[in-house]
Amino acid sequence: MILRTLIAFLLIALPSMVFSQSEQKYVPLDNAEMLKAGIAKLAENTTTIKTSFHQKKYLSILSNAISSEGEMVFKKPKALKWAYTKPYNYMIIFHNNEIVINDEGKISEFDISSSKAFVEINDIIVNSVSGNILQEDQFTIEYFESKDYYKAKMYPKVFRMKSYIDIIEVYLDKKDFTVASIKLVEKEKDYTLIDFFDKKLNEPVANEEFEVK
Amino acid sequence: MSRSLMRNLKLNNHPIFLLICAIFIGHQLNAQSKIPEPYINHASEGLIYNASFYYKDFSVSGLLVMKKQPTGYHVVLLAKMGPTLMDFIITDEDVIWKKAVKSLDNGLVTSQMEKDFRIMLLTPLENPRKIKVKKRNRFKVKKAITLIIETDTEGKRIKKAKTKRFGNFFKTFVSYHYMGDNLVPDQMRLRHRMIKLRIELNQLEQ
Repeated sequence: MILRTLIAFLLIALPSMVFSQSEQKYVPLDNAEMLKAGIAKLAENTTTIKTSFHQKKYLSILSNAISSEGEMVFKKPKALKWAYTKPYNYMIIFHNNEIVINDEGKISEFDISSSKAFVEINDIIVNSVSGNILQEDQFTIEYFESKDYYKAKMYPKVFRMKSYIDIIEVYLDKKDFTVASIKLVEKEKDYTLIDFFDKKLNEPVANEEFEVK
Repeated sequence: MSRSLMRNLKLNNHPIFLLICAIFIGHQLNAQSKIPEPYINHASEGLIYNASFYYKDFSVSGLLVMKKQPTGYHVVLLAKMGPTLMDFIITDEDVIWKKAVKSLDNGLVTSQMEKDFRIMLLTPLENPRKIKVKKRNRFKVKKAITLIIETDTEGKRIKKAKTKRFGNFFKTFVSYHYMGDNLVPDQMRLRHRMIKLRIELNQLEQ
């Protein structure tokens, strides 16, 4: 009897317990200014971020997502390392106006300004992790909230970005305004979901972290 | 020995006999040789590869998704950071472009991608217009393009494919590598004779 009750409880309670930030119920946010101020304060007080991430790419033609994981390191003003460790080794570093890619040991370097697409990707990632994501000059933004998260739904204004991204959804933790997830929705409704966890703010990060040995 | 036998039997002067021999050998080859199915038929859920593209000294990598659908062969190239770079469907005689990011959206790139993936996916094996057995494990398959295909000794898996056209200097070669008894290649390598463009695909373990 106790076992049956326990199973019934788990069946009812578990789905709500495992709801991720993107699956929670959201309502429009009344006071967006409060959110913007919280993010601005976080950005001002954050010098470094180290975080692990899980990335899932959902394609309409595949029944399962393509999963990868790795680590992201950010240091003010604009040094960023994005390193995939599973299921492949791929690292991209944005530092001193240069992009360095280490692709399974093959290293290539080029000037960041040589690729507009890279500049835009760099800006989205740097701005989102550093707390400067809500750029209303580049996006039309709608704000929502759930029990645990804020959601900023961002529609690109710039034509170039519009051609490959339909909507960017940024999920922010209500506790500390840090980015919990980013969802990049493309045309055809395919999307990439990046969940951040084990976030460490303002820990010392050496400049060597952004060098490829 | 055999020449003296032929001479003794005076078969050199018997074209009909030689013709019968050729038909008989051809029939034997046809009986023994069976063209394998396209590998993508063994992957109904689709295939995901870690893809590297090399052009001269420049290289770039991404993820490649390939799936056979009723409309054709669906190919999606993704940046490792997520966004889709190219998305197209190869049909029997045509290609339907669904997406190509601005930097890759030019005629040269898109037409080369179509040609290369038509070969890599062995599209002529799907309802071929004509098949000719060259040797026991070599076939000439004609459709929108003509391919010479080489299988393993058991005839189960395709090991090599190359384009075949009269006077064609721009030949393309693909090799397929398998681990264990897999019917789907774990690795594929495409190269051209005259263009310094190479594609390497390594199946992604999820």
